[in-house]
Amino acid sequence: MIGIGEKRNAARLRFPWRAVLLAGTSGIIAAGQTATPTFQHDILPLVTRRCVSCHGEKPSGGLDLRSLESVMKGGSSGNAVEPGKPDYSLLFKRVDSGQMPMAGEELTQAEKQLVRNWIERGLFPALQVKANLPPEARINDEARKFWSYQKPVAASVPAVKRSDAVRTPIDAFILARLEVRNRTMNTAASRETLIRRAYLDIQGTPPGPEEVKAFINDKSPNSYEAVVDKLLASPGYGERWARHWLDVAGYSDSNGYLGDEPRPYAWRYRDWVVKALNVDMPYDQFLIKQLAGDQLTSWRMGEKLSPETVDNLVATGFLRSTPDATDNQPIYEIDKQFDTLHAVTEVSIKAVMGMNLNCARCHDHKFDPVLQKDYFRIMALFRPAYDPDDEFPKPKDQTKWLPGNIGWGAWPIRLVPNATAAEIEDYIKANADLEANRKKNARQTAQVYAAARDRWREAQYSKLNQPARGELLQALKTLAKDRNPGQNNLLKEYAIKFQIDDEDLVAIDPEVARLEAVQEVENEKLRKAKPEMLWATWDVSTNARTRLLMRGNYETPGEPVAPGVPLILDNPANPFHIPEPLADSPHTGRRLAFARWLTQKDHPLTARVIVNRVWQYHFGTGIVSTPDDFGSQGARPSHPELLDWLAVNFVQHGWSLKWLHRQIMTSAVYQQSSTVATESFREDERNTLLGRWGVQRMDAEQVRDSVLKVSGQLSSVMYGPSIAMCTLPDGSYFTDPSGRVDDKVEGHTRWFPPPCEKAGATSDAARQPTRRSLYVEARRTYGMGFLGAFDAPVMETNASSRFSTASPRQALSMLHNPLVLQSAERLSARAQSDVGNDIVARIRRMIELTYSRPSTEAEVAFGFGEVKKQPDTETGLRLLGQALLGSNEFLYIY
Amino acid sequence: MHHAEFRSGELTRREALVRSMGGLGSVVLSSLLQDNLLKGADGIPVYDLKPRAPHFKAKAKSVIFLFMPGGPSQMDLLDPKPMLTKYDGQDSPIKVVSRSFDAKPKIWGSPFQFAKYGQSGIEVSELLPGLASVIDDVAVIRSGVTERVDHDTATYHYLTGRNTAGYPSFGAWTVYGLGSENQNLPAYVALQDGGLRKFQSGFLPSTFQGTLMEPEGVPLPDLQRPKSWGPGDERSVIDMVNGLNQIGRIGHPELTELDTRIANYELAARMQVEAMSQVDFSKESEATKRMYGLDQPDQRSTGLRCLLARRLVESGVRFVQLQLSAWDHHSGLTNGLRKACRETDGPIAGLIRDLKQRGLLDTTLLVWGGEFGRLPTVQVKDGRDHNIKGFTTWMAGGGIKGGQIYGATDEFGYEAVDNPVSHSDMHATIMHLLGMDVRKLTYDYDGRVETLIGVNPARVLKEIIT
Repeated sequence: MIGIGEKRNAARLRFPWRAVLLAGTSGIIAAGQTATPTFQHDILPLVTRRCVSCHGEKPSGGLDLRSLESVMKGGSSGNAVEPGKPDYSLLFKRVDSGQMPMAGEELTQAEKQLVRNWIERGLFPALQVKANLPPEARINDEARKFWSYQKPVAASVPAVKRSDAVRTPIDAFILARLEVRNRTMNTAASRETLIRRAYLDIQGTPPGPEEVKAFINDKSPNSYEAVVDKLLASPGYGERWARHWLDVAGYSDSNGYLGDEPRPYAWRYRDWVVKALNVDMPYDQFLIKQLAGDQLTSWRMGEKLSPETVDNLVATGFLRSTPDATDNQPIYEIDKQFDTLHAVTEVSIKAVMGMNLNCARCHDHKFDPVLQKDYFRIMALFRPAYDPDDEFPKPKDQTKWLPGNIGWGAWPIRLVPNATAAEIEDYIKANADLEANRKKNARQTAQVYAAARDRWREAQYSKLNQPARGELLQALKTLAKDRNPGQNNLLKEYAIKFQIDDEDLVAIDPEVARLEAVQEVENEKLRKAKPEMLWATWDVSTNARTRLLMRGNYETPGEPVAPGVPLILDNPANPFHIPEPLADSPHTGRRLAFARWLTQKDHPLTARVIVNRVWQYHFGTGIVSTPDDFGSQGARPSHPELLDWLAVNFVQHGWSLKWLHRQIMTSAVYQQSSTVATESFREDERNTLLGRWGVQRMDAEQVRDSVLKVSGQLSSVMYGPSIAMCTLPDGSYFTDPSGRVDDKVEGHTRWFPPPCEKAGATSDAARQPTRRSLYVEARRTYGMGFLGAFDAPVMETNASSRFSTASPRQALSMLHNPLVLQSAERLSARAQSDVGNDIVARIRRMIELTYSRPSTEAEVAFGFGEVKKQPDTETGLRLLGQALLGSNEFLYIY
Repeated sequence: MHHAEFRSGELTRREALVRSMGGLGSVVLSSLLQDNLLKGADGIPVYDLKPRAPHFKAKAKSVIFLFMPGGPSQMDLLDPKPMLTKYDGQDSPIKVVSRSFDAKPKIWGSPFQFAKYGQSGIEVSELLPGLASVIDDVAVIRSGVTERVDHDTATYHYLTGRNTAGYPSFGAWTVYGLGSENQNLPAYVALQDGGLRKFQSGFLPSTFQGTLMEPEGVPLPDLQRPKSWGPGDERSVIDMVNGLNQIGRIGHPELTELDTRIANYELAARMQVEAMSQVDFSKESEATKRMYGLDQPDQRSTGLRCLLARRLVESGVRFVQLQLSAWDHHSGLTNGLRKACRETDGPIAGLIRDLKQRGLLDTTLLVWGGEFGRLPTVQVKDGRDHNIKGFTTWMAGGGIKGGQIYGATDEFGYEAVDNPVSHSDMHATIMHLLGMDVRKLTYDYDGRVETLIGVNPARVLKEIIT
């Protein structure tokens, strides 16, 4: 933990740190024999840093080094560069001799070599004569014609030949395109297939046999619609679909980078998403709260917050999802904060606008009408909340409380305590008292533990066989200075072999236990409950200024940029503007203005992007197959009219996601069978035209949750801190049964999940390892092995779609993972408790449970034959249960 | 995260790029038209680990990457500087920029002795007697440089080619490009001596991610049969899965993925045998075990990993990444560096010698290094701070001309003055030795054609290649 003192040091030392970087060799390593150096990538970063302060806007000696064109024009001394001839080029001669830069350090050898290489063998494209147009000229009416920059307009629903097959407008749009190819929709899926599909889609787990039976027998005309409504109203809907949105947000329970410490308060944002989806919060509100919840109510640090403010602040966890190593070591704050700010800018714009800004961090986008300035306009919206610069001191009241004691690590800019100033002071004081008490007792504590450890070790040694025991005791008896090398090695070896943790000593040594008990009584008197901490986003500076960063590098700031939106999307008739924040308001209102602009009813991207995501999660592929990129580098919509019809109607129906799900699921398209003749399959392998249901493998969470559900183990407890990980003997991570919460408690943090064998089992229902995967801790480095095997993403950024691989690791997991082994046993036991001891009945029941359909006689006969081959029935049923869980029919949604 | 290919019938990204580029440079175009290594017959990408031919003839078949986290001190190991001894304790005569709180610009002469070894006569510190004994097989690169001065971002740069999160490690790029010669073992294995875990596949499919392997006990996740199982239980489960798949209702003979999944159960069974046999060291001779220091308690951990690395490479594993000991000696360098060397030097030398005697060194590339190096000046009283302007790494085996020194730092060991080598240069060289052009190994992601090096300049160090 980094204390307050160190933090202050860091702030003082920021300037020299920056100087180091300016003098460093970043990005300008000599290009050598194989690479062809270019001005843009090799020289511009160098001259921007070292030369442009003089040879820039007001070029000294008439030489402007900011573009290839201007370099080639030369200056008052003549040509600066003779391509191919560094020794005749003034630019090289001046820097090689150290004459230049006139002010500042001489170029390093590497930098000089780079200039030489570029002149000698660099690319000098024939310089085209270009009208000297500003980059903004690219943002013209021609560029605005691109489909995704045009406002969506609902086309009229097309007429089709097979109008009898049409249940909803979606069907008409899909059928119209199929009919162009002389095809039609596939027949409807069977009732049992359909209900399983709908359950897995909406709740993430298959229906139970009774639900299937009831549905098959329900002959009422609206029985399917009733199931859809029931599913959408169930809490499982929010839990399943929150996972999709958290993928888009890049949610994680840890900070990422190499340390990857736990992020113990992030789960409240995860729960917020579940609740918002379950109440069908209108999508515009959903976005506004996540992007600017902190700016919706009036609140201040050091005051008790209203429930509404707490809720809004928790929603802004969206913007805190990216990897963030800002607190890793305060000395690195500036570059880490910029890393975070870039990640927030890029991920959140991809997420809500399907716009890929990554290229524009360094230069105007080559293909899309997106300028580098657009990137920094958007970054300026987020910047007050991240404040990577030390030009603007943080409000005193924040730095006073937050580092060290109250927050977690040194996070002065990530957590809001929901407490009054006095309560915070009390808590800090209590912590200081606890620490003082610990120090007072430190010596005694160390002695008691050391003695206990010696007692334990000697007890272990005495259990050894001769001659090892004799040799060891002899080595122990010998004074350290008299030991021979063999004895030293022996002791080292045994010290490595026989180790015991402090926690375990408490359990076995009465003296240690007594000491701990006495100290606990003292500590308990001093301890104060920690104030509620909110992992949130808010403006830490109200006047943060943003500059365009040349080549995306914070060491080379360029012109100032005002907060705004991409020019291509800014409506000249009603340009984006930020209302003046209320006087005395602690925030800038920038993100709120952006969120309101984004959620205008006719925004060209917002509704299309979410409608497309929802479509993708239902069908496996979006109407636009690149959900994060609606630009020219992304795919074109397969059904543009349908996309727009859905987008417009979605907004008209109050941005209701449940309306959208209902539209999709009640369509005939959704209810098609996946089974088609092979020739028909070959005609459209990727199912672009949606003439059938496309078979999907369950994703990682569906697999785990379904395994738990069919075996009767899945916990229905909602919300709360994530279930932590422990380490299995094979080095992979598994749900910790002890109920442990990954938190930094009084200075103690577990970076590595502790061994599973040592973990006891908690009786707390809220901490059971059989919770839904949504509640399983998703750290960036220590993710659950079973989920990883089935392609759960590591959130290095975000994941707008999942891979679906068929790796042998999955087969190994279905054979040996403790989750599967235990579930197979429970599945067999569950069937027995459901139907009694009859083997055939149990087999039948196990098939119904796993496959969510009635069993066939062939299956039962097969199962019976296999079970009979085993030495005893219970073993046979357990192995059959495992085979059912590992079979294709269970793992696929067909 | 989206996939490299999009729906047929629509304008694919590839087509869009090619079309919209019109007259742009031919370099980009040719790398795009380079046939995608991973396309199946139907044009849909297949992300598997089957062996694939490189771009051109390879000198190395596999890589053992020895990552020394923290930044080993070059002037105490492989880059002797008499000037440091001369100016020991004095104010630095050259300008040394330190980013640390307490680094004083006072020169610190190495407390260790150097001597010349081998026919090449390369000077090696007394801390590395093992490496000294095989120095004629090693190309010492004394002119490493990098960009960021903190562990996090510099490590990312070394392992992934970028100084930020989200990119694939170069091991992942390697197996994405080449697959593996042994389908019963992971293509990319990580062996860690504790510490941080970085062998991710970034935006590449998780198929190409490194798999953590333990040299003792159960070597791979989910590999071991439960203790409660009878001898035939596993076979029974596999047979039952196969039976259920045959008589089940799912159908879909057109979906090859379903067949792959069936085949994977058989593959899983083979993997168990093969992976368990990898960590069965009983057939290794006592002499071999001694060579790796398994009889020395403080070398055993590294030794087991080095020995396992050899066995894996011998079995056709493409990429083995070892992270060994700790090298961030801000203080207590004299003892700390001694300890780190003691733990690693013998086993690594044993690895080189063993590979050589088995004829594997010619096709196995060894790469040793940290994310950066250390300063010539003292920090506290017995430490050195991070240095990104000059540090030492080495390569050996697969296509490397041994017994040579490449590049140089200034006379204080501070800044690379001759042939600076960036991490991206290292990556380009490693890929080249594996038969790949680092610029042509591409993956479409997020609207860009990604490579391991991105826009960083990178060159192949042809001078150190046979």
